[in-house]
Amino acid sequence: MNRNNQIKIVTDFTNEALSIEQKILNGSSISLPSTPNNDEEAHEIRHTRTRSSTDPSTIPIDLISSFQAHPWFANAEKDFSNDLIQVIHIRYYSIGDTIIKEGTKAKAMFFIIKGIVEVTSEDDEIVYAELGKGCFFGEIGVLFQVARTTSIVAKTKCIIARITADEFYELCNKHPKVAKAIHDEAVDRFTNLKSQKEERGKKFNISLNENILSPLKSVTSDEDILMTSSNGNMKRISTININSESYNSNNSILNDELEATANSYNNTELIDNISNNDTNNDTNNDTNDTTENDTNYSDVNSNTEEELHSPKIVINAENNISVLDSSVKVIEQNTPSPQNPNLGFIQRYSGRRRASVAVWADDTLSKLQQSIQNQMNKQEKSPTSLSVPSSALGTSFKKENISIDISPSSSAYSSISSLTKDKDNSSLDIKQSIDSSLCLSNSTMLTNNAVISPKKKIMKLSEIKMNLIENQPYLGPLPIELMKKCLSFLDFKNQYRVRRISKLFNSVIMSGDTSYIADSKNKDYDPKWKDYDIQQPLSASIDLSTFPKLINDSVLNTILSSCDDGIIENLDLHRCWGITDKGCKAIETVGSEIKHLNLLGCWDITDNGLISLSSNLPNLESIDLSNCRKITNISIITLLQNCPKLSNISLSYCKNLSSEIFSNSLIWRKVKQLNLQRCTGIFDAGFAFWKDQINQEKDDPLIPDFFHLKRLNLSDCSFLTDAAINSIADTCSELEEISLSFCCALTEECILNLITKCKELKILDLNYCGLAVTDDICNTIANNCKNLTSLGFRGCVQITDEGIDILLNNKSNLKKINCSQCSNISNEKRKYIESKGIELLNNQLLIAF
Amino acid sequence: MVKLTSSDGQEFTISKEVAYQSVLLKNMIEDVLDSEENPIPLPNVSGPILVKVIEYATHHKDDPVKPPVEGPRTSEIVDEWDKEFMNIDQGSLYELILAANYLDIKDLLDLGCKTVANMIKGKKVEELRKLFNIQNDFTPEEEEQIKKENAWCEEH
Repeated sequence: MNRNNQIKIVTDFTNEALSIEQKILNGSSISLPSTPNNDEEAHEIRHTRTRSSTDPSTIPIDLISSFQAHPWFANAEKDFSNDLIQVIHIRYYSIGDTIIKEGTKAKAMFFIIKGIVEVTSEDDEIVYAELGKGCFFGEIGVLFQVARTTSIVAKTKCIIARITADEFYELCNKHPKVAKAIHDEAVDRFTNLKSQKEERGKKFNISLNENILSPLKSVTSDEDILMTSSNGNMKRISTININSESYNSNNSILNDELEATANSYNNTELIDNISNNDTNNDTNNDTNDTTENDTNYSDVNSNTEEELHSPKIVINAENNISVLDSSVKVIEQNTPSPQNPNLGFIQRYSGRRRASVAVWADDTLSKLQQSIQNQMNKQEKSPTSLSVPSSALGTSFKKENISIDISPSSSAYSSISSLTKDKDNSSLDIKQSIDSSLCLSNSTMLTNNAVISPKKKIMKLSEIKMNLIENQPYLGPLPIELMKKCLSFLDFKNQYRVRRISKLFNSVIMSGDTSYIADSKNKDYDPKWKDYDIQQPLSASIDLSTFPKLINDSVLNTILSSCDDGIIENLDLHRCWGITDKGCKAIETVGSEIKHLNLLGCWDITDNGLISLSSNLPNLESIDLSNCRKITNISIITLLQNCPKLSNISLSYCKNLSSEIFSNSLIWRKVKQLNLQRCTGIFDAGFAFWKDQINQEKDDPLIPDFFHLKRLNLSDCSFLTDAAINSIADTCSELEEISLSFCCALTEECILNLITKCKELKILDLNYCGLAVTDDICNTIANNCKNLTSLGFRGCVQITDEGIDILLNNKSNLKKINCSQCSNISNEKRKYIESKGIELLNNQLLIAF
Repeated sequence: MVKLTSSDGQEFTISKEVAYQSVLLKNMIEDVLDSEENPIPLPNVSGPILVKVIEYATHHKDDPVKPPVEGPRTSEIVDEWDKEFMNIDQGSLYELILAANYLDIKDLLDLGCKTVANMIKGKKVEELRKLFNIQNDFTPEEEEQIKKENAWCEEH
């Protein structure tokens, strides 16, 4: 199909909403062969368009209750569901249908009645999220009047209620509470998606229309909402032209195609129900009529817009039970979280160079080395120092071993903390003694190292390596360590495939066990294997997040059960949506050495799975549970109690968490990094626990009197007020980075408190904290915050050029400022900032959590 | 300038800048004062391979220090010149990897390993055994079991 043709069709469909009405009146039907991705053969699907459901009495009760149960509509006015039902159009999609195409104009939003859709990138390559029954989509484009931000593809057969933009605006006008709820979710998803795209290195050009955004943000009363919506949104609506021109003129279809349509129509379960149902003759007649009347057709590439798919009526007093599952309760709304999942996973790839000096053994080289060493010895003032390191190293290692032996008792410290104070005291003693012994061994290490000259160290190292090489066997064409390095560049899927080559490949990748080959009876026996040890098989770090579609509980179980417990240190399952509590059970069996666990977006995991899992994660240091929306306080508290080393937790978008998660603040004091982005169930009261408990224990010298928190993300926690920030300021003296963006209720006062008390603060993100960011703040920052390097003021209109002057006047260490969308800062001032060598940010995240 | 001798006795003179790409050479040169006169013997690197190494080091001598790569590790080779540079026969590839490892040139070692990784991708198990000249030492039962376990990741 050529381009012109496509464009023409789009134009024809521009005002489809009304066209539908016309169709309805005519009782006509259209069949639209749908060809997503231009693949005409594979995806040919036909849709039949019939009359719309404007009579509430024909709407199934289940559907109504499903709408009513939806969180957006929970607080809605009484007549809302009736109004809503007046405007919805039911549509039916087959697997693979593109419902929305990224970049196209947004003309409607959708509510999933049945089925699952995928939120994908334009090329269908990346799946950002899956949405199921009860979810809305397409609202971003409609609300903010931007082009479609993603594509939506039907993953299963879907029944979807469609609401056109103008009908939706009208609805919002009438029901401001609902408008607010939908708006909030839309902002939520938008930000989410944006960071996901940015995370994948894709530039995200669409920005929300702030004029629409900001008024709704500050809405407090219903009246206000109504006002803003009528002033803001509604004005815009009126710009959408309504053109009632019918669009059937240039569409054509062959008769046999129409027959096929009728067949597929009849084969559909839903439709069977409709036609078998005698109670609603109207619908029956209509559907029958429409399939037989071949008045209108179109041959359209479905890439154009969602409007290309036509609706099918499934509304029927009885058949809805089969159409919609018997429980049409809203399941959940899933939005993936944007948080950076890879923290901590990067490091292990640095400096693995065990084999890097692996060829020193050569004779000539040894001679050369000897001659160099001789030369050095001549130059060296104190040649005897060479003997120091080995013995010193030995002793300090011993000391470290001792301290490691004791250290598990520090777990007692955290896990018991919730019980009694007495126990706390005793375990605290141990903890302190461990700390001091650790310090001791560290300091001995340091002094000893200081004695060794750097040159000596190099030689010493190379000597040690020499032994290693001679013993290193080959795996295929390369020494085993180098082959391992090659394999390390493969993703885990390919590594897992490679293990089929031979037992040794399997060992290198999965278990590290080479005992079988070191057995001299083995026909492949090579004495080199005797002393060789694959110290860390590649499965020490497993990243399954690059192919989430392949991962489910049983695959995960297969993979993990081919590793032994004690091998895996990093396990990345982010956005592996198929993982449930069963998967957690599989992780539990290999959890003893896991340090970093990423479960971002594994939203089917519940408290049961997580609590059970936490019982075998003794070495866990960081966990990402972002967007695991089913989990509640209890599993997080248990996790913190069971995992003594846990210091980095991401809980963003876990909306079931509440303030009481902090009711025992003791277990939280070891946490260094905490991400609570959009944990909308945690209020000021949560942080009040921190302060109250610190105050109560003030006189007890055995309890640590502050939190070790260094990085905190509270962005989008818009319900927090000054009280929460004051609590944090009073308890987290080590705080270095904090994001408060979109905490719109915060005022200047609490920020002044925060920056005065948290002297270590390096990054302060106050984007969209309009009330809090003033020229006064700049003054305090300039005078107090010598450590501050990055500041976010995006969207704060109170700050002026004067504030910037104050900020830069003193000798500040500022490296980055985000003052985009600050309407009172002039472009000249921005240039001035840059001239001071400070980077101006725009959309970039100030802190990557 | 620095003089190097390959295993087959060929002598090469390169600038310090180029030599410094190799951590091994850097350490040697810094430790030994008269390296300009005495050639450094590289008994593990043959002449033709040393030519390749020098070509690589010369091309990349002015590269800025790269920031650590974020995100998942990948075998993708971004630099077009590198891609072309690695268009060599398998034997040379392995030798080059060994040389890069020996001379401690991290980027070249990574490049070589990525090239091997890319060779592995998309090949069937039998092809891989042939590629690396490796005998299948699984018993038929083990083979069947592992095949079953691997069903999820085999190309369809």
